Amino acid sequence: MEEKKSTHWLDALSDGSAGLTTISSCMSVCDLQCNNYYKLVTAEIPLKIPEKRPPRLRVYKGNQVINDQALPGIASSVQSLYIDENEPKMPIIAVSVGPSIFFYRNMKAYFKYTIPSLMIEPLEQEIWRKLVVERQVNYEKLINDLKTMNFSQMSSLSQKLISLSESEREEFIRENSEPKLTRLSTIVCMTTIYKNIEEEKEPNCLIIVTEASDIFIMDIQNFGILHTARVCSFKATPDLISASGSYQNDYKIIISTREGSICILRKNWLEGREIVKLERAATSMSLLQIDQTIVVLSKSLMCYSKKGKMLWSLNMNDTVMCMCPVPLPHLGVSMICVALKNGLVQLYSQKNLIDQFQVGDTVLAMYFGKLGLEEQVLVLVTINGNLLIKILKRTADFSNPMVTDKKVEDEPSDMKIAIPKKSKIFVEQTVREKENAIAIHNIFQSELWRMRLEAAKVTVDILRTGDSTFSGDLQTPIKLLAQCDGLGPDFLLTLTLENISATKIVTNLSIIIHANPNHYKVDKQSVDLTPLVPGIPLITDFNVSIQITSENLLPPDMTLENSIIRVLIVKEKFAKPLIASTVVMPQPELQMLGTI
Amino acid sequence: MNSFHFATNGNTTPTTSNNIVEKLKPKIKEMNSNGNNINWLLHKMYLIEEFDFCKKLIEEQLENSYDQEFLILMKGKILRDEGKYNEALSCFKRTIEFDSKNARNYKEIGKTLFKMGKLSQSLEIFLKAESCLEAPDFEIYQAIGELLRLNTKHSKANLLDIKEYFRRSIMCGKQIQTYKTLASIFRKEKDYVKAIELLESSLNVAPGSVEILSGLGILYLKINEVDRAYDKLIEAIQIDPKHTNSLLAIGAIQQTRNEIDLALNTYRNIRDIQDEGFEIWSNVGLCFYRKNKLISAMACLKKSLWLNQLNYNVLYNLGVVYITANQFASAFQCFVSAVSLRSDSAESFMMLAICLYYLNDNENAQIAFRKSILSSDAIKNPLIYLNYSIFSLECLKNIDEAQQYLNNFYNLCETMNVPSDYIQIAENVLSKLPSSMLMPETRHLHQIKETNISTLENIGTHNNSQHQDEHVNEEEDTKSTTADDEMV
Repeated sequence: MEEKKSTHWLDALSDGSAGLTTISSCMSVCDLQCNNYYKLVTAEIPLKIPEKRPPRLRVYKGNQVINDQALPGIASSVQSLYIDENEPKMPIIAVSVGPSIFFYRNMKAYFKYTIPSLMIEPLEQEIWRKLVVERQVNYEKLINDLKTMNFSQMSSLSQKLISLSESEREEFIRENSEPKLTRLSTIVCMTTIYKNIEEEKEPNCLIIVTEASDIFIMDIQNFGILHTARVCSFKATPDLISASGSYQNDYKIIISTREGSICILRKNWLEGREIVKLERAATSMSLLQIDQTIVVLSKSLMCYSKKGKMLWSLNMNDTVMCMCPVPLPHLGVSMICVALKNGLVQLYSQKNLIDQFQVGDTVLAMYFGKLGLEEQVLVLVTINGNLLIKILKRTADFSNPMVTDKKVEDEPSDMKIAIPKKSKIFVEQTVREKENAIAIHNIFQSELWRMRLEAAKVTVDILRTGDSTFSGDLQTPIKLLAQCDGLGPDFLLTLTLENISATKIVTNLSIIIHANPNHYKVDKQSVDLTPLVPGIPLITDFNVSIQITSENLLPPDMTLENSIIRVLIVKEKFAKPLIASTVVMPQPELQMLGTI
Repeated sequence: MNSFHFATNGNTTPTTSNNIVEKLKPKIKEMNSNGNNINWLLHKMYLIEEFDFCKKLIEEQLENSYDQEFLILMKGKILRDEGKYNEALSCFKRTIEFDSKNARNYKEIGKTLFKMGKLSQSLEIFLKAESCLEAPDFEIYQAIGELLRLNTKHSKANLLDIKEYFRRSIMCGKQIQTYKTLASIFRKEKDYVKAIELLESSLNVAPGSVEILSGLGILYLKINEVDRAYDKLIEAIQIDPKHTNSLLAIGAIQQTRNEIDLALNTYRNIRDIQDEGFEIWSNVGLCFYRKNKLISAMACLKKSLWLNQLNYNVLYNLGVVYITANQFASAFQCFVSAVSLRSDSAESFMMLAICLYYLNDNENAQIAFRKSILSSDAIKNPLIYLNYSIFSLECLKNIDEAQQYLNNFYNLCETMNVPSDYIQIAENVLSKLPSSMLMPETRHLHQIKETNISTLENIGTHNNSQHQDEHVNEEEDTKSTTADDEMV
């Protein structure tokens, strides 16, 4: 493939040694120090397993790491938010790890929020209440009761208890004599909406979505939950989220689930509504701010309205990795940037391919927006830890769809239907037929009759002599197959007899080999067969050797025509053989004769 | 890094303290318990097909976490994607041990068995999954429908109708593929109206799908809504100007409307026409026939026949072209083949009879004519009676029969729209009969007497070309069917 380069982008940075691996949801860009210099905050996703050191939370200024600290676990999402309207407007960073969110102000952790516990089954509570007071002998029964519950709906304490060995149980129960049963779901994704005014650097609300399908809308000023809702009415596991609007006025939250549903949650709803069911779960999904359509990347790139109507779809040539919206208000276009597994990064405006370029590596995460002092920057993080930053040229013009080379060669300028060629003979024959149609027809017909007559004669002949591989007798329908192996002068003649009737068993059959004794020596002249059962072929072998003269030559009167062996299948008390077949024996290899 | 204090909201895991850095190390083992899993990461990486990473992650997580159902499920999915069906199956079976009431786990087993080609086992599992369903699941309904369509054996009595399963799947899934499948079932049952309804509603889900638009166009053709069909097909080629099936159907419509050059232009747009099916070549051949380029027509039809030796329409069309070119021996061969394919075809027997007449075999011509007249299709085409009437008059000198079948012809004229040329010829014949019991408008008769009385030769060829028109129509049918098959 030739090098695909785009002239619309300036390569600002290509840091192959950044050692950063992350996903799009763990990247956030914000004006961290309120000096209009936007910085990239990202949480690392360790792709090397086993990873001993804890994952890092890093702040990049250009390619420089200006802050680097450990996280207590793998983060699922990093968001930057504004708390209040006080100047200077300093954003805080929210990082979700497991069931908790860590809030950082000035890159200093200052608050940890853990989501409320899920409901504990009364049965489980009851069992624990008994466990702490019971004696060891009764543990077995109680634990068996515990096992009847659905494993994934138990508190971690119970899960651990079940997986412990019997000897360890007692100590474990004694340690937890005052059991605090909690069941915490993992936060799978987060996003932000505005609180009141939909403008940059205005206060935000944080939207938290858990694996157990709960959605929390949080006011970060006092870490209070403003609204709680469910993703949808049935069991589904959320995976991706995208939202727009403000909490006070109106907002929409779009959630994509692992099962392939796309649900929408509007203001004041307690439960989301499924609008689209995808064949395969979405890899990436985004609610476009400009036209409020939902762009979904699965096997193909699809665009849906908020009512779930597919507006367009586009097949992708390779496995898709991630996408991000590229709004360009100054050009009046809004594009989608898609990264493919083969390293190709493509920009689409609606269904039209606008631009594409090749990155040497597979892109794992993408961000487009402000960075540093630039307004339109594309940040790409590859699977091998490269950090690429591309700045959109101010002169870039995306008004025309990209013309790919392929399309040009497709376009037939003035293609004509290639009529099959007519040869000279064809035309001549046409003329001849026009003149002599009747004669041609008559000759053809008489020849046809002659052929039919010939065929009929041969058929009658075969029927009369029984010289065929099938037995014509309806009472004993059998089929004979002969095979001759070897180079000579010794041959192996294998006869396969098969009963082709559905039910009848044929008994009292014999094979008689009839060969000229001056030419061939056969080890057995006749064989009496066992009864022949339908469907099970009977295989009989005969050793046949040519009667070689003392000078190692073939018998003098042996010719190609008379080197045959007749095989007769006879039935007791039948005068006529059922099958009388002729096996034409091959000529022996002359070299073989010489070696004897 | 300095350790620092930070506040919490009180909802904490038992292992959390105010100082996270201090507790970092001992927590690592504890971390993966309930509520701290990283299933989400596993799912994301599975979607971008980083299988190696997923496998390592699963192995690591299996050691550290208690809730293993999801991990094993994902392990099974990866193994299945890698084609290791048996290992995948054993993984899915383990997930059932964790949760025997989860339809999802059964569904994965069912899908794996389907891929392994164990259809009846797969169907049993899907039926089991169906019984576990809490909320409707389009995949399960679709799978059951698909398996039933493949005639898979099953133990469950009084199952729902296949269509009902697909309908349910559409209700909850709205997948284009399901729409197409159900529509193709309706089409096979010749319930075109329902198929159209279904595809029209699927356009709401996926507007601008070329395949659905062209499928709809072809269905409209089947119920003779040519204008609607034309609109849909034009819509389809506006989206994809190279869509073969749509171009083919548009060309066929243009051909029936007698816009031969337009039709040829349409066919010209078909990509890789050399490799396309016999229908295109048959239609192109007919275009040339209509433009009176007989040699080109023959070449195209022969190519079509070479691509599909046993197509009745192609054989018939080629036969007609041969008759027009006065190549009666070849025409005879074509019609013999056509007749052996459809022994009830009145028209082919008539054409065969005409061939035989020209080949001076009146005896056999009469046999062929008789077969044609006695066929139940004879009343569909007035030409058959007319031609036989002429034949009786000219060759058999059987005036009674000529009269009788001419009357039959006139009877048909009353019920259907017969081209005026036929009537003229009929009047020619009538004028040659000694006395006519039935006298249509006589003023025509007078005119024709003045002109030369047409001989059978002229009538023969003339009839054929008329006949041709109808065959373009039939042609569309065959075209549509193949187009349909491709859609399924």
